[in-house]
Amino acid sequence: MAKGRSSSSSLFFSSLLAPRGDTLLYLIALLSIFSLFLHHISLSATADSHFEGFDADDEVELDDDSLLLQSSLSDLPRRSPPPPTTLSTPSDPESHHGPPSSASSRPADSDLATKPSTASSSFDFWDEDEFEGFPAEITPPEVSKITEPASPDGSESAATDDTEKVAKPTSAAKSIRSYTIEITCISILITYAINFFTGKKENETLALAWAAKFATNDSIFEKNFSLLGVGEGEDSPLLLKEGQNVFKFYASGRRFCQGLLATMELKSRHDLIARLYNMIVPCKDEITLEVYMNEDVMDHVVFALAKKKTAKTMQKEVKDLQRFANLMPAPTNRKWVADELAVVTESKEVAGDLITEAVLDQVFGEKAFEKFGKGFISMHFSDQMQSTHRKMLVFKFSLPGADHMADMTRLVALIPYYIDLIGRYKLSSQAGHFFLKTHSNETQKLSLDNNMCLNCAKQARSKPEAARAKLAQEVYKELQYARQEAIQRKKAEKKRMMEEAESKLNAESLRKREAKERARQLKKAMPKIKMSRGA
Amino acid sequence: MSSSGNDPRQPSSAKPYKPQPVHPDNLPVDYSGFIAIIFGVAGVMFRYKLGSFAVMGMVTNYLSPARAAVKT
Repeated sequence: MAKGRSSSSSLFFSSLLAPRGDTLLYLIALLSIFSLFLHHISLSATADSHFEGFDADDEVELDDDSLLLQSSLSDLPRRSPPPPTTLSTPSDPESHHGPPSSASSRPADSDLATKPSTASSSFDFWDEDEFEGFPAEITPPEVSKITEPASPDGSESAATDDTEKVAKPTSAAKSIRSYTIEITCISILITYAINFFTGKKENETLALAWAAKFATNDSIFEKNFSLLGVGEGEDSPLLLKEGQNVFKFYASGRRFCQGLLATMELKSRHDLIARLYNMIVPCKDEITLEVYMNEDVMDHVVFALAKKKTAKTMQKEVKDLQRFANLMPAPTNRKWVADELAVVTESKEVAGDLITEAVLDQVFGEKAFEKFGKGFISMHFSDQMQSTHRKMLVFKFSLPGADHMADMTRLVALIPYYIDLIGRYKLSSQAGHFFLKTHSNETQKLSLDNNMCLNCAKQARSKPEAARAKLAQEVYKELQYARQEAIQRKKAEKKRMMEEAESKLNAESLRKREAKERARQLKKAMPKIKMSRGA
Repeated sequence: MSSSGNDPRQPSSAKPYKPQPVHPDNLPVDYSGFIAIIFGVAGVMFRYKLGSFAVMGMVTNYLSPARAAVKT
C-alpha cells in the first residue's frame, strides 16, 4: 500500500517536472520554425543539453524510485540528497541503467518479506494511510544508515554504492561537461565574428571589382554618363554601402534619362547563419540597374524579357505587366531570342522593335546567349511602373566572381544601347518616316510601302493607346467615385449636425420643462412647509 | 538620331544622387533580432542557458553599418 501510494506520488512529481522539459523542447521546436537553419544549429548545440535536461528529470525519477525503496527500507537520508550529488549522477552512465521502478519494487518486496526484523523498528511508525510523507522526519537517520550497509543481500544498495564510487572520479570531467553549452555558444560566436569580417571583406572586394570594371576611367559608364558616384563633386565615392551586402552605384547626366541607379544585392557572406543556409538553398549575387527615363522621351512601352520561369512569374506578379502585357510566342518569320528566354509584351510590334538584330547577335541570340548571357536574369521596360518613377528600364543581372567581371561586359553594354533605342523609339507615325527609321533592320528589309508602314504604325499605336485610355478612364471613374463619396459624406455630416442641433434644442426644451415642473412642485411644497411652520 | 555617334553625355542634365526616403514601416523586418529576443526571454523564463546565449544574436544588429540619415 505504502509503495503504491508513494509510487503514484512519484509519478505525479515526475509528471509535474516532465512538462518542463517537454515545453522547453516544444518551445524550441516552435521557435526553430522561424529559421530552418537556426533550428539546425540549436539541434546540434542543444543535443547534449537536452540530454542533460532529461538526465536531470530521469535522475529525479530515479531519486523517487530509490526513495520508494528506501522508504520501504526506511533509509531516509536518501530522501533529499544534497544538490551536488544530484548534479554528479548524470555524468555517470550507470545511473542510466538504474533499476526501473517496477523492477526495483519487486526486490524491495522480497526484501520486505525476507527481513522484516531489520525494518520493523521503523515500520512501527509507518501508517501509510495517514502519514504518507512523514516517516522522513520521524525516524532517526543514523539508525537507517547503519542498517543499510549491514544488509549484504540488498542488490539495490550495491547499486547505490556503485554510483557513489563512480561519482567521485568523474567530478572533474563533470565540471567541464557542465560548461558544454557555454563552450559551444562562445565558439559559435567566435566563428560568427571571424566570418563576419572575412565575409564583409569578400563582399566589398566583389562590389569594388564591379565598380573598377565598369565605372572607372575609360569604362562604359564613364563614357556614357557625366556624373558618376553617389556624392557631389569630382572625388565622390562611387559606391554607397547600404548594408553589409547592399551596395549602390549612381550615375547621371546622359541624354534620354535622368539617372541610373545600380543596386548590388550580394549574398549575406557576413552572416554565418545565412551563409550556411545558402549552402542548402543557393542564391546568387544580383545587380539591379534602374534607369529613370525622361518623362518626355519614352513612348508607350511595356516590355519584359526574362528566363522562361521568371517571365511567367513576372507576368503574374508585376503590376504593369499583369495589366498590359502577355507572354508572347516566338514569331516564326524572323530570328528570335534563345529558347530559355521568354518575352512579355504589350504588343508584338514593340517586342519586334526592341529585340533588334544587333541585340540578338550580341547577347540574346541562340549562340550568343550561351556565351554571354549567363548572368542575365531579366529586363523590364515600362512607362507604367508602379514606383516613384513611372518611366523606367530595369535590368537584372547576376554578378560573376570578382575576377571574372569581364563576363558581363556585354550585358552592361545593353544598358546604354536600350536607353538610346527607347529614348528615340516612337510608336506613332507623327514624324512620318520616323517610325521606319527607328524600326529594326529587318522591317526595313521587308521594304514595305510607306503607306502600309503608316498603317501598321497606326495599328501598333492603337492597342497600347486603347489600353492607356482604358486606364485613364478607370482612374477618372475612381476619381469621380471618390468625389461622389466625399459629397455624400459631407451630406451625411450636415444631416448629422442638423440632427444634433435639433436634439440639443429638444434637450434644452426638455430641461426647461423639467425646471418648470420642479419649480411648480417646489411651489406646491412650499405652502405645506409654510403651513407646517404656521402650525 | 544625328547625335547617335556623338558623345551621349549631358553634364547639364546631371542630377546628384538623392537617396529615396524610406518610410520606417517599409524597412525590412528584422527577424534575427526578433528571434534573438524570443530566445532570450525563453532562456530567462526557463532558466535555460542556451536560450540566454541566443540574445547574442542581437549583437549582429550593432555590427551592421548605420543607415545614413535620410532627409525628406
